[in-house]
Amino acid sequence: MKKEFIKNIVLALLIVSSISMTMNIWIDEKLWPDGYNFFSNITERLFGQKVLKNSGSLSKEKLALPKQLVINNASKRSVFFETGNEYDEIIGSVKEIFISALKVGEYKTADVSEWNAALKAKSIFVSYPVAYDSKILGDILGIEKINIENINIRDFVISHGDIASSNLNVYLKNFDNNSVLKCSVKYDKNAFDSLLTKYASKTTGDLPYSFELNLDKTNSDKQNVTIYPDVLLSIMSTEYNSLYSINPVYSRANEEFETETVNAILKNFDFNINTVRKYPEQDKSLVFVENYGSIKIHPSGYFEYRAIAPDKGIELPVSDSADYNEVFTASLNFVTDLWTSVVPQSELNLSLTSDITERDAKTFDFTMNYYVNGTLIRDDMQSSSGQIMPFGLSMSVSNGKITSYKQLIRIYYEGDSKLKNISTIEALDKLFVSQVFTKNDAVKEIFPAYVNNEGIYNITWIAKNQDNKTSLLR
Amino acid sequence: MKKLLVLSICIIALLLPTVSFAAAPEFLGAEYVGTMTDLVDILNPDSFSTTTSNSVCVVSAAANEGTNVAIYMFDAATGMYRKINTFFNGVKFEDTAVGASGLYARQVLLKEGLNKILVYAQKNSGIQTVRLEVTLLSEAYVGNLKTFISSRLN
Repeated sequence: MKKEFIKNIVLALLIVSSISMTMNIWIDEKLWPDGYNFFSNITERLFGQKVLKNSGSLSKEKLALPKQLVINNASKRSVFFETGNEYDEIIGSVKEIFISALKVGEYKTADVSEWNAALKAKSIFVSYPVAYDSKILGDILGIEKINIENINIRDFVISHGDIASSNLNVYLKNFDNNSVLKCSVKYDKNAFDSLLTKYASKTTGDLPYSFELNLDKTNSDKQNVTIYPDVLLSIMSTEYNSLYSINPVYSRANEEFETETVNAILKNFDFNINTVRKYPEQDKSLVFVENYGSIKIHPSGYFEYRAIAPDKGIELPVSDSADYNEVFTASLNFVTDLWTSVVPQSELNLSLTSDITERDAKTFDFTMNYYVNGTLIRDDMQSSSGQIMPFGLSMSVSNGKITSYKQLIRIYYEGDSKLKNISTIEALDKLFVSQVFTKNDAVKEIFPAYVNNEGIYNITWIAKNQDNKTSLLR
Repeated sequence: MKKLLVLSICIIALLLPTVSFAAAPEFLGAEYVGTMTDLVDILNPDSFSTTTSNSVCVVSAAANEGTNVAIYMFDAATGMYRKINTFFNGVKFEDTAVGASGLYARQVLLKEGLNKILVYAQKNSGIQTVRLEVTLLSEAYVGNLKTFISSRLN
């Protein structure tokens, strides 16, 4: 009797729990964050080991991660990139504060001098790799309703604010016109101070902002260029680890394509590896043709997929009424899944390099580059027509279908030797000599990058001017 | 006569490059002043006398391409200005001229108290000097100031 009673109780509880969860799903309340895998978690708990998974996926959680954090504590300053351990320890607090800032609802306009003052004071300067429409950013961060719309954001500053106030100030920069919005966010200031004290270790003299050196304004007729105020400058030469790469698509030793890798690429585009038509080309590429598209794979590791028409492209798993967010997320999942199946032994280290700002577009393109330790890698793709593209991946999507996809498949690893990179000013001198920049140009961005020079990776600089023209120093 | 002429020409030829492109001297007298005024414009610090709590000051300047610029710090022990040399991995940086961008920047490590800095610019045979004073506040002073402000507000 007692057994029966207990069984009935357990059954009743299970039924109530099922109904409750079903109701949650019906009213669209998420039970767990995107990317969470219930079975993976259970297996981990049972067997005490991590289930193999793609650790470098392009999930929304990864996209929510800024590229760079600059921690400033009065005269101390340090920079951290996504792959660093310290970054992992700081980013939780940063995300929490930023989410609060997007939900706060009350914003005031702040001027550039206040933004600059915040950078110099106790603050964290946060930069995403690309600009995001605020609504898309809110969705990436899992915010149901944000209170700031129609603004593209790439950079923001979390500042300690007034000593008299118990709130932090958050400054959001509008990427399109550089105007600044300010809001007040409740947060434990002592915890924020502790974070700054712990992680700001170098001096600001090692890593000054352009405005701190008055290089953001034309103060002299001998000054041929200005640099945007919040560009960080390397005054001295810096060292980077050497870089090498592996092409997993083609074996130079055997002078043949790796069959497994090629098949993995074909399967991702729904090509039937048993029936697909295959043609070799003079440049040793292989061309695979199905009814609605073709894939060309080059021995260099570059491949390109092309649909015969926009409506014949690869369908992404989205609903008919899918909005930009849904299609964008599905596109990134496609990139992740392709990488996982083609190069399962290597972490995905691609990051977006095109702004995500056209949230109403049905047709959009985006590009990605490979990164190592926060440093961009310029391993340009060369198409079959000889066109050079300064990306590691480019994708076109139209009405929920992939119409074009190009990628250079590469695995990168760091070596033991060191590469020396010149200072920011020396880099600008060289860019001037080569007439990339001319008098009265403004440097909007300048940052280090690895570049592939005929198979050898060197460290150099990439600069962008006021018109967004990007140049690589060779 | 011919030998004397040839010798004179050789001496002049040897001296000319050193006069035109000599590296900035390691020491300059306390009262040393250049003769030019338009070779270099100091961008940072933006005034003759500044105060900071940052132990590293970056002196930035603008000069025409080809101008040699060096930074000196006054050494009270010798009563002279001593050139600040930059090292990378233990190797001394050779002086380089201002490049095509017209920009110059160098770090100066400050000591507590008053730091007398001299910026030396040379192009061809012209020399300009600019004097700066940067006072580095001690950590104790800054700490006391913060405590004072916090106590007033609380």
